[in-house]
Amino acid sequence: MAPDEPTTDWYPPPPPPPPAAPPARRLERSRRDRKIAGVCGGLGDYFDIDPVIFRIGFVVLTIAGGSGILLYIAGMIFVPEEGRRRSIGESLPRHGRPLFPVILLGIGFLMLWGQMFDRHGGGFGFGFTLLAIGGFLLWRRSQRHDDWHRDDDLPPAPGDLYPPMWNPPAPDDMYPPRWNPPAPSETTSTSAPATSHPSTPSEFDGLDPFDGKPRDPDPTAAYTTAHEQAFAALPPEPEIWPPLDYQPPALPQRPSMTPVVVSFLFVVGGIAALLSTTNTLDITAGEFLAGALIATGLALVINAVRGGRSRGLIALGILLTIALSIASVAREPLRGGIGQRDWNPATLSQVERPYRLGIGEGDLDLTHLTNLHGKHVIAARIGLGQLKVIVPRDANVIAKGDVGVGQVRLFDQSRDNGNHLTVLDPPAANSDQPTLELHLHVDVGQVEVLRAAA
Amino acid sequence: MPRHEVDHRSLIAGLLFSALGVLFMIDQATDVRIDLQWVWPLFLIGLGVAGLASTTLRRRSGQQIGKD
Repeated sequence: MAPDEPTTDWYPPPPPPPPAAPPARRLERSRRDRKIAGVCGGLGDYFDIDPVIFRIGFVVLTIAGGSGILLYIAGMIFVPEEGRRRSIGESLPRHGRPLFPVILLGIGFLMLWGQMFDRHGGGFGFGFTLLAIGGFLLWRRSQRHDDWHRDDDLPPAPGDLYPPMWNPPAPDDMYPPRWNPPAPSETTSTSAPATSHPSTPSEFDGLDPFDGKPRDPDPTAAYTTAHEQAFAALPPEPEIWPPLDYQPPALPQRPSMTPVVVSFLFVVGGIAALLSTTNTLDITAGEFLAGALIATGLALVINAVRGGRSRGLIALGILLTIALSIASVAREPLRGGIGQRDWNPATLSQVERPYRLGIGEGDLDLTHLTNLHGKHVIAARIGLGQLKVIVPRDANVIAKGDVGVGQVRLFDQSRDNGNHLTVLDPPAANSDQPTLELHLHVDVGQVEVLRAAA
Repeated sequence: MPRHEVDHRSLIAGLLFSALGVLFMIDQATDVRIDLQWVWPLFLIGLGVAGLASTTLRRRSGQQIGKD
């Protein structure tokens, strides 16, 4: 080997890189199927469901209370974009002040403020507007400072677990090469002219550089050579000091609890449905979903302590929260039936408590009620549709109506969208006549109360 | 025996979901009606507190490592 060739063959070849682990499936904002930020497309990819379903869900939630916008913006912030390792929300605290949580706090308080002091005014809308603007600005900022993610975008090369922060120079770069006088050679020692002045070390081979006479053989040369050979045969010395950014290897993650929790929920849901069918247990779908959300939250807490992947549980929790939001807005469709209902009670014992209909039109005619004395409370609830109540001509009526989305029309007064309306008719109650107190609710549709014609 | 570090993100998400579940359960199973317009601001505040807490804990643990 030439003396100036790098001595890389002293070291054993690097071990082959470990086989790349199969990429874990994760929730990402889609780049291929996106209308705004790819949240619905990503959800569709993740759950293998048509993204249109998620889009409809977000639109419905947006119309029914506005939570759809909140969820979508949360998805924009918390779900990483396809091909990136970190979401906007994860990146912001690492690259500056925790602006994002502060903004969330501010908006939340603003919205509460609006609720407390301006319930029917624009406070809530103001909070939403701020939220939308804040989310948009954060998103734009992350797009502009794309270099935040740049080192995150590409997957690390195999074996490049700890990128070195400082590469010390090789010893050959720090110190000049040591000149080792070669072992004396009889040929050179005898043939070298004594009078020529050597100009390079090679010309001193075997000669004393001062007097040009043959040198005595180095008694340690043989030992040095043997020592260097033995040293070369040793395996490379392991690094004693870890790199500056060393992190201890993580303990092996325990298997995810998601399959266990989902299976458990299926079993419990099936048992609850059976008991409900046999009238042993009265449990609604909303109550079951709420219980499932509590169980998912507790499983997440356990998972946080025992160590395990939690993404599946978080996705399940978000799904259950969305389902519960829908169930809370449209409560009645999960309980009542579907179609046209004509309720004509003739006595108080025939009055249902309360009247329920899921989807459709319900007509409640109270003009046939007889033997009315004192005050009676009658309630009716419809999920999606119209509720019409006809009251006796002479009765005192306290009508309380509200709709989630739609209109309340009580006698000659009306109100829209989510506002409760209470009307006393006649305004000055006649003490000789019975009083009917009506509690009427429609999730989406119309409530109407009419006085019977003379 | 080495123990897993507590995953603050999962812990906070779990507590948040549990609290939401309790609120929804009260809404669904009792006559008390929880208006969603109150739930979502509380959810946002919880999210913000969670973010602040996790940032603070991460920084504190980083300082501990630096001291050692």
